[in-house]
Amino acid sequence: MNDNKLYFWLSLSSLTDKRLNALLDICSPKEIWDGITSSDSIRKFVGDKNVEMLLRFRNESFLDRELAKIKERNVNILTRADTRFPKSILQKEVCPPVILYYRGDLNVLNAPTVAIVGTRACTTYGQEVAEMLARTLAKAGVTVVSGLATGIDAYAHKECLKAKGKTVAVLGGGLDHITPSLHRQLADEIEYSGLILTQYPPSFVPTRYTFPERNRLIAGLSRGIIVVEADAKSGALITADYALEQGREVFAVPGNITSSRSKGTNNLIVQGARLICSAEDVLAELRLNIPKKEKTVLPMLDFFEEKIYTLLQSGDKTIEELIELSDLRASDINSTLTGMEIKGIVVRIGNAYGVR
Amino acid sequence: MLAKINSFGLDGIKGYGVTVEIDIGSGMPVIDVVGLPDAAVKESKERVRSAIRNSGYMFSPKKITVNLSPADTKKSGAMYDLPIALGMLYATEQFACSDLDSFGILGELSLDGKIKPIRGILPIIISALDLGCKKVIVPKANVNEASYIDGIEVYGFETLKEVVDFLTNPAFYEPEPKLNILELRNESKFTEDFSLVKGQYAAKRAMEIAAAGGHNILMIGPPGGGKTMLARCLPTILPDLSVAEALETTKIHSVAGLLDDKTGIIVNRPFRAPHHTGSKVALTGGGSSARPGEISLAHNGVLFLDELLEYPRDSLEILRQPLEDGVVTIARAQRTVEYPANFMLVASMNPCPCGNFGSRTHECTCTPVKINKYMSKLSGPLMDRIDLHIEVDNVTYGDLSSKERGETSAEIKQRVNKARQIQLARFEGQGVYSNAKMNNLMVSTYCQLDGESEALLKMSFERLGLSARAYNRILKVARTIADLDGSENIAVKHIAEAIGYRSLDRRVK
Repeated sequence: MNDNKLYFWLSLSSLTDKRLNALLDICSPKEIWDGITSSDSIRKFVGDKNVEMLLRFRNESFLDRELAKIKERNVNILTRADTRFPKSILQKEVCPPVILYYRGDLNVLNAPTVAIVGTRACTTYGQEVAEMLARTLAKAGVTVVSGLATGIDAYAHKECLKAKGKTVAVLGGGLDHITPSLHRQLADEIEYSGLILTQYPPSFVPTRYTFPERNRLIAGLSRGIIVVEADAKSGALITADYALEQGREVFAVPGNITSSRSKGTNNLIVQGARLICSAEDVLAELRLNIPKKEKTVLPMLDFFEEKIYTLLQSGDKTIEELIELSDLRASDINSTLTGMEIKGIVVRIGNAYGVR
Repeated sequence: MLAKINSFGLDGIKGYGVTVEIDIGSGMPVIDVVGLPDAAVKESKERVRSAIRNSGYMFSPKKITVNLSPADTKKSGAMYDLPIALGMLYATEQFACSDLDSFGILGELSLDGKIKPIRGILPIIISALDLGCKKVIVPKANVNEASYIDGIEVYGFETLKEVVDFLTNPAFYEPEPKLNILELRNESKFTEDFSLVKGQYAAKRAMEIAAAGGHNILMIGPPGGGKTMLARCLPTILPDLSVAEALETTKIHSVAGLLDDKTGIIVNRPFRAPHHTGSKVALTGGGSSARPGEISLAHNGVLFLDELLEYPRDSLEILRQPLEDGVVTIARAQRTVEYPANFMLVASMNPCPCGNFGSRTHECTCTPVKINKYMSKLSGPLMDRIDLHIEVDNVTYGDLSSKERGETSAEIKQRVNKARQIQLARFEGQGVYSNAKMNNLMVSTYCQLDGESEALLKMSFERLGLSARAYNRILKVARTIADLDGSENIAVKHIAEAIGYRSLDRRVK
């Protein structure tokens, strides 16, 4: 009888993580296995319904079979007894699950971790910021944790992969049910160089309540969380609440006060979250090494480029605006911008161009 | 007694000779029409009977057989009324004519003997000339349309009686005067003008390039940004129709019965904007009589699809083959017809269901999944055929209220015409009239890049994530930009500008 089997057995009951944690505080899994048939105090604590469930599954060959099935699907399990179980979530406030299912490399959790979360329906501003933060953090050797959702989550994961950094995706369902299905390829890429992990068994279909649970895990796994964009009722705010409970740093990216997608983040700032304007702010707060900025040497600019560059320094502009402000012809602006974009002097954000 | 009248039939936009034979003999008083007539032709006997009586002639109460030869081709339309009526009068010797054989005769009759216009006069006249016919009698209302073709005498009449009088003494009549297309062109007026479009300089520039090279163009932008306005202005800067093109386009409109009686010819490039609720057949053409559809009516002109993604997907997919080949082949159980469909596709769409994605002034409320779903309606193969994508953002109030007038359409058109002349000279004798229609071989011949441009193009594919399908499109557009510039070689700036018009390739990855 090993720990894997015991914890897996425990995870089969419908006990909440909170009850399980409380139970495990007073007795070991082995004691529960033995005591479920005899000890009244354990039976009472577990409750009639769950006693029945645990008794039904209390069959070693059944558990072996189930674990073998999971292994067949190329899913690894990690129990609390395992030394590789992330220390950060063993903390009482996190109320960790007894078992984790994962694919990929657990070692990425040994590096400092920061979560980047935000709304699924993000604006181009949110996308830009999420990418910028993920890029810099990845370069600083930080592991970026997020939830594989569309919007901010996906942009953070993608940019992190692009910068050859390590990233962790925490799922709200089993590994057989990547949601949204659009991100299956992204999940594969994350698994290849990072880690994809969940507290739900592979065949578990995600439901409404599993996503807040997932958010608790995201916060638990991270030293700090950054909320990039969130409207007033965004799920990202749940993550922020958990982070506060668990004593993690909460960072918020300020936004336009008129933008509905920044209502949540701006509120966080009002409530005392740390306002950040760059990834360096996060690194400094977490006392991490700030990578030296690569000095960007501007290539020689010709007449048109110079003119456009100067205009863009005062803020992003669309081609239409550039034409009006510069008195250059549309054809010249268009061809110059393409050249500048290729050289990396300007970037395109939505319909507008800007210098970074 | 037997009478033979020369007439014509219409197969797609080609005419063919039809001989109307009338035999009157003894027997029960009936009229039989043979030679695969359709319902309209069969009913013609009733119209003919009344028209003859009401014109003051006698209708013979005998057994009358009408044969439309060749007997194995289906005949349709009401244009055989006049030849049948004349044949009956001739067979019953109510008039005499020494050279009835030399006339081609067409026309629909009403019960009172008046002659009504018919569809497809122009293609019929053109093929009549090819068949060696020198004189035609047509309805008066069709005279203008028929008068642009040299080498054939056209006589137009309003009543059956007038035609009989004419045939009795043809020498007393003069043929209708010929008309000239080129004179009409200068009279054409547009209500739109690019000088009325405020701001949107980048979009106007893209329109100019599209017009000069005949490129297909897609405008992406929020509602109210002026996409439709820009599209409606496009015909004002399109290069002039050549005489050959005008006749080709007119043929199709003639077959569809859409010509204006007054001018009788299309002198401006057509602008067709079918609504997205239209059926597939409305777009391609078809129906039992295989009539031309919107894409053929837009031949040598513009097909504008507003709100592109609102069109049913299969309606869009059927555009693929005509966009490539410039013709559409309509096969029906009875017949197969080929219509030219060499049009320039101008389309507009919103960037997302709410329309504000990427906008700087309005917030987009769509989820990425929704946007993805929306964009996925636009299939890759169709996108492959669109050379220029441009973003048309909302104009500011300042732009709208500004008194400043932009360039007029006439000024832009001058540049467009100049660029098109260069193209016509380049492709002389190769069956291609614009850069957009270049085949791969021509692209490699005429769109050669120097080292610097080649490097830029290569870099742009790596850095900007362009898809491979963009390659030839960029070269063709760059060629047009160079032509507008009057430059023989494609320079770096031309390539760079062309790359700037591929925004969709970068959005959909």
